[in-house]
Amino acid sequence: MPGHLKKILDFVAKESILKKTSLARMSLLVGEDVSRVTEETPDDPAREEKYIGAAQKILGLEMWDLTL
Amino acid sequence: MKRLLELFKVTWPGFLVALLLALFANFVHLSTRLANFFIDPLYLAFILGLWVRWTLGEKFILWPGFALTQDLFIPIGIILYGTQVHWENLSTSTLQPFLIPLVLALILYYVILVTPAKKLKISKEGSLLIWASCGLLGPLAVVLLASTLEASDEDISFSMILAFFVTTIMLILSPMLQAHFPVDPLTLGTLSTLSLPFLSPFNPITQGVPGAIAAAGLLFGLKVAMLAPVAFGIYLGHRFRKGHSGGFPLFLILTFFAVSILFSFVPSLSFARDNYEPVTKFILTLALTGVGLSTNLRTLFADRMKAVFFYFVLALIASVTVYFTGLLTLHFLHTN
Repeated sequence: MPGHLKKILDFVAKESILKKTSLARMSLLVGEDVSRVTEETPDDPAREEKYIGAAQKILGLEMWDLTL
Repeated sequence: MKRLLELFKVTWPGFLVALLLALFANFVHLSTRLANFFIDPLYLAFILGLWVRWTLGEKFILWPGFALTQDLFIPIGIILYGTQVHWENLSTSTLQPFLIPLVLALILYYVILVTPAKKLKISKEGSLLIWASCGLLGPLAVVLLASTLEASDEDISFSMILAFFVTTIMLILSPMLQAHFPVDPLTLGTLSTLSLPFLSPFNPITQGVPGAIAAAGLLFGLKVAMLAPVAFGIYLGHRFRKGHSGGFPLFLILTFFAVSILFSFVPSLSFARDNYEPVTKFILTLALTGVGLSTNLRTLFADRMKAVFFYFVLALIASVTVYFTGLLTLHFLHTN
């Protein structure tokens, strides 16, 4: 089922005070324009791992407990 | 502290670019004759931002700084703009001639620009921004409503580009229309503010006609005063539609409103109002530079080419319709 990457991005935006800055940092960390990710973007475990790592760094999270 | 330092490290390159562009836009505005036309530093900075982003392409290293410019300076700019609202000048007797034409214009803009949005695959948020941009106050309305609606950079930029396009075309059309349908200064001022969303009351149409500048100034003041109530209404609608909405937009609207009331009715503050104007303008210029720098024009035009074309036509139809409706309404009101 697609949508995992979008779910990660929505989580980052929801948990951030500076939403646009956090999403731009996601683009910088994962090396791609995350604004192109939609609900229909297919799931990809390798990309998900990269996205989760970047999200953890931006949000300062030790643990990742968002269920995808 | 560590996270703040980390934030600084990733945002300073982009922020520096945005700051330099905003300063350059102000410099160009002050040192050339652009001020004599209607090219505001706000819009110049936005266009420069769009161009730099287009030229640079995907330089991810700069993006966090571009985004931070928006995240920080849009809210600060909105709150500071509250200092420029003149509630004390608005009285029922002075505003009476403008109320009906303004309400009619807003309804017409809504019907023509918001109703077909779904068919043209433009989001509700995007169409409301277009409505605010063309019908209310160009970039100022967009900045306030974009925060309320949590709109995308592409939606913000598209609505600004449309309002600028309409203003430019109407600036050319208005003198031709006036040649065929001569109007008195009050009507001229009202029509210029209703159909030229990007212009201040002092513009090439009203230039040299004191009565028109005065009328345009009053209507402009009314539009500025309407920003907070309109934003609040749209916030409620957005919350109702989406089922949730952050508390920050509401905080922003209420603070903008509170500042506008304080600076209108507390004498010591209203005396100091003029000191805030250059700062407010520069902060808003910086915020719009950030919007321009964060907008990917390739995405904007590639994803919705059909909608972009139709919206250019619709916005123009809306403006011409508003012009003639305003003309007829004012003629009817004067003769009765």
